[in-house]
Amino acid sequence: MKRYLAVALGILTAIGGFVDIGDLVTNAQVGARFGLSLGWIVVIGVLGICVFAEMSGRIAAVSHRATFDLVRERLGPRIGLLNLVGSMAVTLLTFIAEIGGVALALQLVTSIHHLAWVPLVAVLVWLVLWRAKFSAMENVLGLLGLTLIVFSVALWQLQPDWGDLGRQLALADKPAGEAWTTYAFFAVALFGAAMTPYEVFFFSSGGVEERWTVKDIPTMRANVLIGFPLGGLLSLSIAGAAAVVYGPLGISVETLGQVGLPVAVALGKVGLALAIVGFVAATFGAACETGLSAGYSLAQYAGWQWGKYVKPSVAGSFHASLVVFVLLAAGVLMTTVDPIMVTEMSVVFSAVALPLTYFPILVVANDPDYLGEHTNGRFANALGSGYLVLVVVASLAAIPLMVVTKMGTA
Amino acid sequence: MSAAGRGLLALLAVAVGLTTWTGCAVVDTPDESAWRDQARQSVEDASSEVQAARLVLVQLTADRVPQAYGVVMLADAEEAAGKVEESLAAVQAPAPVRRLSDDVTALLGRAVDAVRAARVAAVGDTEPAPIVRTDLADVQRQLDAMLGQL
Repeated sequence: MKRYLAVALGILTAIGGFVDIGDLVTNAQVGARFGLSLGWIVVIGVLGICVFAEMSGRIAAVSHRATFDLVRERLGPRIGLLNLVGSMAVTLLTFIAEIGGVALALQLVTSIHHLAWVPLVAVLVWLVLWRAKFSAMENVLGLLGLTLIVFSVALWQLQPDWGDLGRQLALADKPAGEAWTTYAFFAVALFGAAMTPYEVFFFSSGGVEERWTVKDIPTMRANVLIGFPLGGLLSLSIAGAAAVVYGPLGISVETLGQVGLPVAVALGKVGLALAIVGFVAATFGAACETGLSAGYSLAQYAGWQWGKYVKPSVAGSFHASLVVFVLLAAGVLMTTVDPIMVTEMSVVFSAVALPLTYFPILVVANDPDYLGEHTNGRFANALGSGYLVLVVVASLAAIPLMVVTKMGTA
Repeated sequence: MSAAGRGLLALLAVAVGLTTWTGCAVVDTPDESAWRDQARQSVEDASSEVQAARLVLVQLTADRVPQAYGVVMLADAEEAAGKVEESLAAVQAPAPVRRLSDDVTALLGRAVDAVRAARVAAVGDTEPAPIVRTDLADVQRQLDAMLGQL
């Protein structure tokens, strides 16, 4: 019974923790502009993150070591450094966006400018990273993030033409007035948002923190293969609700307030309150995960002691790096940069950095020295290799598309 | 690399440098077609903000959105509409469409005013006067009509 409860809790937190500021904003933007015609990208992205999260979870459970630890050892310090710089830059950009997202959510409730919230949110994130238990942080924020299910209820309440939404999803039916380059840009952004590198680092390092063993592999697989796809359904619901409310009016989504408004249209103040709780939980949870991921990556590469199960006095460099990251994020946001713009940049640059993250995982997952009998089978390798081609294409296309479409505004 | 290849590379570098340098002009002076594209985009963006403001006002009036939430959304719409207006006003329209440019700029200004009036009404914590919603609807119609001219 206890085992089943653990599996259920893991799945629920995986659903609630799946969505972050990048998913919220990008899905709403795409839904308002393209309907569900890019929903297939969410499906492909969710399957991709499942493939690589399963690999990295298996690596952690069998080798008891985290991704960067093995990347440097297996591929050498030069490739390891390239991997570290690329992935950490994107993770820090996402960290900044998440802290900004929490501040924006609080602004919506209080109408106090988000810049006034940034220092407080930064301190709270640091306190959680410093003091809170890993499991408490993951479970509480993951479960609160489940309130985002209100988007699915809202979509149902809006009584859309399900046949039309289904047709858009199935036929990838690009709206007539949109250029293919813009369609491709948002496809890459959605793909980057769904396959954000930090999710894999956090998942793998979390497995080491929680001391997974081979016995935990089935539970880990259940969390990934059930929790993540259900989290992906939340993403589709956000896009669907935006498509139904904003599509006919020609409204484009540029703020977090606009992401939540379709819920108010469908369900009123109570629904909107749940959506805001979900915004805060999702962005705060993702801020903690990205902050830890950046700290994990650096510590694992540098060979420092790391983790929340280790006393801070023993992992001094790791905790010092977290302080620096929090200060950096708060400092960048206090320059008055728009957090939504940072979010848009973070999902595009996530796409750019994807090969740096996923290629080494595929290599390590095939190494019997680390995984013994648990190396990738043919199916996992076929999926992994296929996705590697996709992430390389997305990575190469991201910046040219960003320039040509002027961040999707052209 | 051959001398011809080096020469070609140098020529290419100069061309890229000049293009970049001349692209950094203080005032954007597009041709008519490019100006129409920019103007159309600006009108569409302003229309999006006006529609968003109308939607928020409807939800506020129906008590489906907390006042703070509505105020933040209207302030964001006002700021975004203002940026759209400023952005197009900074573009030097070519002579054949200068009059049309004046009309577009004036219309964008009216859109900003209408969204601002909506924000003022929402902050006032009273039910927005019908005139605010009527103004937004009027501006919306004019923006739609302007899209037809562009």
